[in-house]
Amino acid sequence: MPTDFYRALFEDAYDAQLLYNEQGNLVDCNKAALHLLGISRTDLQTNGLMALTVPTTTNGQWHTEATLREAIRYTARTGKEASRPWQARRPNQRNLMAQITLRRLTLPNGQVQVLLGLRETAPASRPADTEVQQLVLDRTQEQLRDLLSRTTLSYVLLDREGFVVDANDFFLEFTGYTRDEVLDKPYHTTFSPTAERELRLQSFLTCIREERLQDFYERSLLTKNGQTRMVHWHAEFAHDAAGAITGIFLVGRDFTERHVAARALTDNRNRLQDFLDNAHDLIQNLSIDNRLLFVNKAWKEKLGYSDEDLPNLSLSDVVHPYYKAKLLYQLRNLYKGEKVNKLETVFLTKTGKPVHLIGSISCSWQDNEPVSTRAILHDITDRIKAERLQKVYYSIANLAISSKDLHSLYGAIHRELSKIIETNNFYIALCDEARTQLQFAYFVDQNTPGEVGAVSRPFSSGMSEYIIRTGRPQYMLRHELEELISSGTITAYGLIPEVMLCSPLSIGERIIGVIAVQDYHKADAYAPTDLEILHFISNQVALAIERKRNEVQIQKQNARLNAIFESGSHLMWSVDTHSRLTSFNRNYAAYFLRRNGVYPAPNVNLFQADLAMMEEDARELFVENYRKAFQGQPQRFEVRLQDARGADSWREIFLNPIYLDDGSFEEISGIAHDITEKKHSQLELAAQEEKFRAIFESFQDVYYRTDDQGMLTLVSPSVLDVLGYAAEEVVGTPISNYYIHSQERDNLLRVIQMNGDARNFPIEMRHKQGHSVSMLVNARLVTGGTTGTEGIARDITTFNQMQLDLRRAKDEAESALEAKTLFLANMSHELRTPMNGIIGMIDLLHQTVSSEEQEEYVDTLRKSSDALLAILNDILDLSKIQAGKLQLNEEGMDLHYTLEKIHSLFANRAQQKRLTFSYHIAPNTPRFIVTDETRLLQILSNLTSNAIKFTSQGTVSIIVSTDKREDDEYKLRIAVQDSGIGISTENAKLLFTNFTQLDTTPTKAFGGTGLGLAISKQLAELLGGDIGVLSNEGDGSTFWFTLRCRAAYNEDEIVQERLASRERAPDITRFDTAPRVLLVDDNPINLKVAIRLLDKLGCEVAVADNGFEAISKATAPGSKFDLVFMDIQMPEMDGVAAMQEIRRRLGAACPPVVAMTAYSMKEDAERFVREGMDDYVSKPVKSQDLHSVLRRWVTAGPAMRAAAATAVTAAVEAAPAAAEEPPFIDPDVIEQLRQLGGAEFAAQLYQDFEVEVTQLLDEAQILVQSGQYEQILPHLHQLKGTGFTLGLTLLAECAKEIEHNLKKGDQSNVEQDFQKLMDYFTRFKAVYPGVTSDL
Amino acid sequence: MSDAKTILIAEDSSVILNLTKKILELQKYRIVSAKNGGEVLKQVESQPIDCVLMDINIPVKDGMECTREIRAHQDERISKIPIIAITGNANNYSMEQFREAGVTDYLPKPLDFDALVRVVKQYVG
Repeated sequence: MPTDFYRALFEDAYDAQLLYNEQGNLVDCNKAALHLLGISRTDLQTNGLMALTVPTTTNGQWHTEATLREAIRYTARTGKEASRPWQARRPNQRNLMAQITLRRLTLPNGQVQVLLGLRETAPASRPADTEVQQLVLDRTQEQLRDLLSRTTLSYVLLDREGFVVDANDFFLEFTGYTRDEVLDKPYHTTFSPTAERELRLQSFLTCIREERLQDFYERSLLTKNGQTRMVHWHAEFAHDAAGAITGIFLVGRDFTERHVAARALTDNRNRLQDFLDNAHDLIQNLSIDNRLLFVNKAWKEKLGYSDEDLPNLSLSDVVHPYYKAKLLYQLRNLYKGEKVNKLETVFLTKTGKPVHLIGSISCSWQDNEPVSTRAILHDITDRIKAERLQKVYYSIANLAISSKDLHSLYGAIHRELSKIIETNNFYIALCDEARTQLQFAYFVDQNTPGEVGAVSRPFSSGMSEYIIRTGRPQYMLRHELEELISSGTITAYGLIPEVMLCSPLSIGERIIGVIAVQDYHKADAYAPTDLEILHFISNQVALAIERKRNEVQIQKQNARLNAIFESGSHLMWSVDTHSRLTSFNRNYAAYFLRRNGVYPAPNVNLFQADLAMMEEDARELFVENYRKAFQGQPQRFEVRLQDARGADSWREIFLNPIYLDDGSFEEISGIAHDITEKKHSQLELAAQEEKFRAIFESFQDVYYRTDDQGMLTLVSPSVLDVLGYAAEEVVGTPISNYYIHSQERDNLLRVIQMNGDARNFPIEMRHKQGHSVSMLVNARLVTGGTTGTEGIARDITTFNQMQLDLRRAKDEAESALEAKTLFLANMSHELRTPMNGIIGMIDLLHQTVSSEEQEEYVDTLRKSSDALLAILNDILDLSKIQAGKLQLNEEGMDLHYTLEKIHSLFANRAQQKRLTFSYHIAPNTPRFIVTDETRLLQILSNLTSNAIKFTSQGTVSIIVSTDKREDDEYKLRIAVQDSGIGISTENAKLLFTNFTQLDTTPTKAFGGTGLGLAISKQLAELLGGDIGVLSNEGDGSTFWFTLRCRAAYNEDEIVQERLASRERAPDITRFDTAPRVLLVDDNPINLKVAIRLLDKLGCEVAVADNGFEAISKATAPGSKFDLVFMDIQMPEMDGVAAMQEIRRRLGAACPPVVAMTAYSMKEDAERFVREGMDDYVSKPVKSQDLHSVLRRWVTAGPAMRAAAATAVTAAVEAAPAAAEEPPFIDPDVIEQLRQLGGAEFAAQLYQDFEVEVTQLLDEAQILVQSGQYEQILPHLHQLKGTGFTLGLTLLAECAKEIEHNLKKGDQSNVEQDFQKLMDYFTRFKAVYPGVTSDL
Repeated sequence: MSDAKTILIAEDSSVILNLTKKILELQKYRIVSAKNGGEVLKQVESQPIDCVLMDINIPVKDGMECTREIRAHQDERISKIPIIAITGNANNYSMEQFREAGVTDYLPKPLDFDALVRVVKQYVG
């Protein structure tokens, strides 16, 4: 703080002065300031100086508090003075033109403040004001003068030329002059020493001219009596009211007496100058008010001051603030006369760097008063630094121990380092072993406020990396860094400092990072020697960091171990050799609490505290294991324990000695975990195993297991019973030894490989005694540890044998049955062939009879042969039914007419036996029904014939009734009742089986094959009904059968058809045209019959008795047959082959070929037609059949023939004389389709056909019209196939013919034929809805 | 036999197709169909097929070609399917030609229903 004296100076200073702290806040101001600004102190402090600013265009003026504050701070920081003009307006509206000057002050306590000087520059503009102002100024000046007199200070006011204008009383008293003697006298002439007089005047005039003034200075003064007085002056310009400089006033203090020694010294100055200047030590001469009177060259050089700086320099400016108090204390002691032996202090250079000094100081005395001090100081900065360095070096070594973590270690290193060098910008960067990352572990930088956390960057090419790479410490100035950057050696990261010191952190050869300090402003912040310091400590820093790192690592490791120790469910503890618990985890504590009711405490004796509480056996186990563990053997055991609540638990316990580095141990560690569940499941498993072993051993089948080599690893004892081996015998041997066929094993393995298992795999195994044993094996892959197979084999020898026997029996039975059926079929066929001859001949014979008697014989012959044929037909029927080949032909029929027919058929026979024979139809029975009339008649005549046969007297009657009705469906029941011999119940059962006659005695009274009822039964079933008998032996029988039928509504049609067929029958006449017929048959009898029959019909007959002859005759030139009758079964070449050859040779000119065959099955006929036959007659041939065929093919004329050619299949089954056209759609086919899928399905098929064929024909028509005949072949082909399938024979045949012609290359009739096809299709569309709706 | 066997009918005529389908369905077969040669292989590849009834005259790709493709198929389950040709034999293929193409058996047109069932049973069971 300024002393009172300075306070007075400050307050009474002429210039306005404001004092700011280094942050730029106003701290104080003097009265002059308040006076100049015309405001109160409070206003100034509240509003700030700049509140008065008048905005102007003047350059560089501080306008605002902010700019001013900025300037103040700058001055405070740098010490640079600043001066700016300022224009303001006072609150009383008067303008103020002033110059603001900023100057840094360093207070003795080291505090920095800035003094703002405010000096009015321009005079007030208004003259009126100027006078007043002048008055005020003068008054002020006088007040100042008087004030100074009271404070024993001199006051002298000089005008611009150096003449004295005013002086105060003290000055007059001090100099010995009267006022009049000095006023208006040139000051310098009067008061300056003669030698200096001119120089001082000139200096004064220069000051006035340049308006620059040295504020303080010491000047000698001559008094009136010639004495030289030393005066310390303070000079100020005097201004008039307008602000113009009118002169200089001086305030002075007498120093003379204290300056004697100094003066003496000054006298010797010139002599001493050389000596002093050449000294290396710092030499200074200090006045007692701490002004530097003299310093030598070394002093100036060391501290960086120039001569110009010296006059303003005081001791306070150079001494380091920390050492100032001590120095002043020592100086005071010196002034008191005490001897100061050694002076040790620190000065600051002009740039602020400390210089450590040691030396001696002595005081000059004058009149028993201290005048000045002399000091000779030796620079010991380097030594101090070295000592400090030493200290820092050791303290860094200790830091690793004392700092709590790595981060505080870095901070501590920073602090330590800052004791020896500047560390405003300091960082430690660490790299990893692989040098991939550079981590700035510690980073303090002026450009980055605050401390930056650990920042990482990839290890690249910065300065730090450069240092790490080279391993050499570096002192770098800005230009050196820039050179490295421009050469590409390093990359700049951030600001480039003016100077940088960098040292690698190395531990031995290993470099772990880099330590660096830098400065952005002053290149001389560091000397190259500082690098040695940095390098010197860097090793220690590296070691400290490494040590700390390891320590952190160990801590982490400890934490980890502790986490492991405390985690999980394991109990962990340790025991020393005295059985005392030394450590334990929480789990152990909890366990201990559960068992003993208290928490365990360290050092508790475990044997007493816990073991004592255990059950006897557990305790012994523990003690024994502890004992062994203490002998150095690690122990593992399982023990069952009971907790306080008595619950059982199992523990697995490990005891291990804790070995120390030297191999000894003092403690045992224990780990226990709960294995209760595992233990329980183990026990359970053992029990299970026991159970399965029992099952295994009592196994009847053989269980086996093999390894992947096929060696048996396990076999159940049952192998002894099954294969004769003891289980021990076979285990370890290859399983293949026991296979009879080794490939069976391969097959089994393959199946297992493919599916994972095999089921019911049959194999043959070898018994110990050599015979084979059939086994059935279920096997699968063994999964898990070992690969191999396991399986169960069952002995199925007996089972197999039984099955084999059964199968053989069945096969035998079946083949016997089949042979029988075949035999019957063949037999009947063979019999029919001769019958053909017999019946034919009888037919012919009949036409030649001349007498009544002959007529009767022939008639009998005919009846006999008819009967025989009937029997044959029966047999054939039965075999057909059995073969499932019999097909029904359901049509509308008149029930009344049918019964009438039966009646008239059997009336004669009944009458011969004098039996009453009648029939009765129940009233609600429909007359017209749809069923197979032929089969119905067959059943009915069978039953009727039997009834008449087995009834000797009484009645036979037929009763027809309706059992049930559902919509149009009826169940018709027909019963034939007789009064005959009757049948026993047992016999009734046999009745309907094949070949059974009740009377089997050799002299049986009744003839017949015994097939009748069997056939009837089959037929009734075919008709959807059943058959049966009601009888009491000797009391007559009632045979009945039922059939399912529909009512028919086309009654008229049925009646018409019946009437027509009756008319047609006898229509056999000779042909007038004498058709030429080729007859082909290998059987001479048949040939003879046929020739005769054809003869009778007026045909011209040629004969061939084999296929080859037929071909040659048919194709012989000039031979022109109207028809060929072709036997099918001929040796060497059959009829079909012959026909095909003829057709091939003759082509279109080929006459119709009609097959003759004993095969009476419809399917055969169809097949022949498919194979190319035009028509078909069944053998034995009858005159009527031949007639109708000839009529159809020969006499009908070409148009009809074309139609006839396509009407074959239907014709075969049509009424014998099919003069009229057959149904357009084959009813058999429709029926077949209906049976197959129902009426709707059949109808749907025909609808589909219409849709499909419409499209086909549309396409084909276009092709035909464009003449692309060949292109319609696929269409025709499809039409043909589908047409035949649906029974559209005409249409299909037509398509077939066109196809046939086209393939031959005959295109002559395509268009007409195609038109015909279209016509057929039109007809189909018209017909089919009616036909199918009947279904 | 647990599951119904599946028969693929390759036939462009819906009449014949429906008919054949009905006959075989009555025998408890499962039926899938292909209207042209292009669909045949798709059907065969998309499900297990026990037998193919192959009309020779089908559009896009005829039955012979389809048969060859099936026989050449890399999947053995497909290449081994029995194929029964159904044909009116417009092209007069010989049995050797059928065999060469890989036809297992053939049925003439017009179709004999009993023969159809018999032959299918023979190859499918």
